[in-house]
Amino acid sequence: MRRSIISYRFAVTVIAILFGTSAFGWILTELVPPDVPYQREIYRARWGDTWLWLVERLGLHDPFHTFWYRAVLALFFIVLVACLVSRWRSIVLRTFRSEPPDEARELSKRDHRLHLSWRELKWKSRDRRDVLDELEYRYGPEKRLAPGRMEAVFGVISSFLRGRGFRVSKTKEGGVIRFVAVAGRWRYFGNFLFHLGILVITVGGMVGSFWGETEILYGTDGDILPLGGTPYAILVDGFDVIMTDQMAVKEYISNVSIIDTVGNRLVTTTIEVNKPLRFDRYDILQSSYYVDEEAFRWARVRYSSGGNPVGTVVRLEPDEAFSLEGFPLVIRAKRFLPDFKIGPNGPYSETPNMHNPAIEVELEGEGGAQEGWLFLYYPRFNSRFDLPVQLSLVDVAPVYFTGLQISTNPGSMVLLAGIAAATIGLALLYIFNYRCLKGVMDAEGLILAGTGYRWKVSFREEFEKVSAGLVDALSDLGGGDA
Amino acid sequence: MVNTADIDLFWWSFWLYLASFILFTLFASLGKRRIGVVAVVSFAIALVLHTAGIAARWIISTHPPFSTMYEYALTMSWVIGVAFIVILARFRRMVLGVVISPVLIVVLVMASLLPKEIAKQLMPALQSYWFYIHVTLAAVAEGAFLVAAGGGILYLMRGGRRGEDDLVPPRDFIEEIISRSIRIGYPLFTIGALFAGAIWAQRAWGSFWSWDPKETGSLVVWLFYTLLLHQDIRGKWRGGALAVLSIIGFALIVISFLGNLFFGGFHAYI
Repeated sequence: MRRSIISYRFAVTVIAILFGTSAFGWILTELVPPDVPYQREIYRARWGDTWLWLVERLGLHDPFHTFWYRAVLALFFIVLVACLVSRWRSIVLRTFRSEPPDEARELSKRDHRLHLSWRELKWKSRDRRDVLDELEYRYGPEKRLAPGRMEAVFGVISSFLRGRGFRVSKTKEGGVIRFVAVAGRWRYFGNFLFHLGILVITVGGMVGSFWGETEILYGTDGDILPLGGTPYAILVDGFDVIMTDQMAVKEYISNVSIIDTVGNRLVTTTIEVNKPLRFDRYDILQSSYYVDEEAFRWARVRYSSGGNPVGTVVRLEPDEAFSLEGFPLVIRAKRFLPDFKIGPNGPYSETPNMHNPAIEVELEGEGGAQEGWLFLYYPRFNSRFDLPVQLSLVDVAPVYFTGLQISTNPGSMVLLAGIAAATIGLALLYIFNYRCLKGVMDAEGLILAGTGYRWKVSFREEFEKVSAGLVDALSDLGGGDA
Repeated sequence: MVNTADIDLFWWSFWLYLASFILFTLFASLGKRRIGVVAVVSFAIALVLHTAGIAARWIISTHPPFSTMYEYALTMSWVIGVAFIVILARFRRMVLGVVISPVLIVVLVMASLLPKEIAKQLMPALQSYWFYIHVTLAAVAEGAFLVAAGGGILYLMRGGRRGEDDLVPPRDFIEEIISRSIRIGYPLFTIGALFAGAIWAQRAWGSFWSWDPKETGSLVVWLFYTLLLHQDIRGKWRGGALAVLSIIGFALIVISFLGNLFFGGFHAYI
C-alpha cells in the first residue's frame, strides 16, 4: 500500500484525476448557473425534482467547493507529501554526492557507451607503423597500463571532463578506478524544491480557504466602516474618481483614516486599486465604487436665451429653487440618474456608473411648471421647453460610494513562501541540465557510459563530442605508454 | 475608417506570413532549397513587420500592448515567430516552417476577428507592474506550447517514414523540439500565468485564487502539461502520443483564450 502511494504511476494517476475533475468543474461552471440555491423553485420548474436534487447534492452549481473536488485535492496533497517524504533523502544525496558504478556491467544499461582499450589507443596514436610495429600490433601481448600510470591517465580524463563542466569523483580498489562525472546536479534539488513549494502553496491555500475572511463594505464621505472584529474602524474621508479627457476612468482613490474607539486617527492614507492598506492582520483594498442612483451633491446648469452660447451658469443643490436672472422662471434640479435609460416604467439608471448622467429639472413660471431632462454627455437630446430659455447641463457631482474590501488570509505568508520555493525550484530545473557519466578504468582499458536526462538528441551529440575529445586527449598521451 | 499604423503593419505581416506558409509548403513538396530560402526570407520580413506593429501599438497606446485579447494574441503569435527563427538558426530545418507558420497564422486569424481599438487608458486594475510580468510570461509560455503543437503536427505528418532525409527531420529530433518547447513553456507558464497572476490577484482583489473561469482554465492547462511532463520523464507518452497530446494542449489553450468571450469573471475582457 505504502509503495503504491509513493509510486510514480500512482502520482501520475492522481494528477490525471485532478486534471479531469478540474476540467469537468470548468465546464460545469458554464452549464450550471451558480444561483441555483437562491432560485430553487425556478430551477425545479425548469429541470424537475430529480435533476435539481442531483445538482444540489453534488454541488454542480459550485463544483470547486464540493466534497468530491476537495477529496481529489486532499488525495493530491497526500500523494505529494508521501512522495516528498520518501524521496527527499535520495534527492538531496544525489545533489551533493554521486556514487561511482560498482561494476562495469552496470554501465551496459546506459544509452551511450564508449569502450577504449589502451592497446587500440596506442596504435591509433602512431601515425605510421613499421613491420615490427605491425607484428606487435597484430600478435603482441595486450597493452596493459603500468600501475604507476593509472593515476596520471585518470588525471587526464578527470581534467578533460572538468573542463567540460562535470564534477568528477572516484574510488580506487585493486587496480580498478571507478568514477562518476556529473553536471547540472542542482537540477535534482530544484525538482525537490519545486514539489515542496507546490505542497506549501496547497497548505497555504487550505489555511486561507478555511480561515480567511473577506467582505466588501460601501461608504461615502464621512461614513465609518467596521474593521472586522477589531476595536478599530475605517473613516471614509473622501473618494475621488479621476477621469481622462475621453471620459474613461483613470483611477479611483479612497482617502481613509483608521480610527480607534474614541475617534483618534491612527493612520491616514489613500487606498487605490493595486495599492492596498495593511493594518493589523487585515488588507483593505480599493475594490469598486458605485454612484448613488438618485442622490447628487449639486448640478451646474447653464441657461441662456436667443441662442446665446455663453449664458449664465448656476449651481443647484438637490430640490433647491433658483430664480433665473432675467427670466420669470424658477428652476429646480429634482432627480439624478448616472446612466439614463428609458424603460417601460419610465426613466431609470441602467448601471451605477456615470455612462449617461442626466438631471431632471423643473422650470416653473407663470404658465405652470414644465419638467424635462438634461444630459451631460449628449446635450442634443436635452428636453425642449416651451419657454424662451435654453438649458444645458454643465457638470454634476454624484454621490460616490467607495467599495472597500476587507480581507484577512492567515495562509497568505505560507502561500507566498511556497511560491518563492517553487519559483526557485523551477529556475534550478530550467537552468541546470543534469547529465551523468560513469566509468570504469583498469589496466586494459576504459568503459565510459552515460544517459541524457532531458535532451536525448543533444546528449547524444555531447557524448559523441566527449568521446572524441577523450580519445584525442588520451591519444596525445601515447595511449598510456609508460 | 482610417487604420492606425499598427493595424496596417498587422495586415502586412499577416499576408507575408501566409505567403511564407505557401512557400514552405511548396518547398516541402518540391524539395527545392531556393524556395525554402525565399520562404524563410518572407517569414523573417513578416516577423520584422510584426515586431514593428507591436512597437507601434506600444507607442500609440502609451503602454505595453497586453491589455486586450487582440494584443495578447499578437504577442503570443510573435513569440511563435521568434521561436521558429531561433529553431531555424540552431537546427537549420526549413521544413519546420510548414507546421509552425500555419499555427502562427491561426493565432493571427483569431486576432483579426477581435476588436482592435486601442485603449489608451489602462483600467485601474491593470495599472500594476504585475500585469506586465503576468501577461508577458503567460504569452511567451503559450507561444512555446504552440510551437510544441506545431512539432506535434509535423511528427504526425511524417507518419511512418523511416530514416532521415534532407527535408524531413528524424523522429527523435521532432520529439526533442516538442519536448524542449514544453519544458521551456512550463516554468514560464507556472511562474507567469499562475504564480504572478495569483500574487497580482491578491493585491488587486484580495484573494490569490477565486476560481474565475480564466484562472480555472489556466489551472486545467497547467495540470495537463504537468501530466505530460511526468509521463515524458517516465518514458511514457513518447512519439506519436506526445505529438497528439501537444496538439490537444494547443486546443486547451485556444479554449482558455477564447473563453474570455463566453465566460464571466475578472478576466472577462475583450
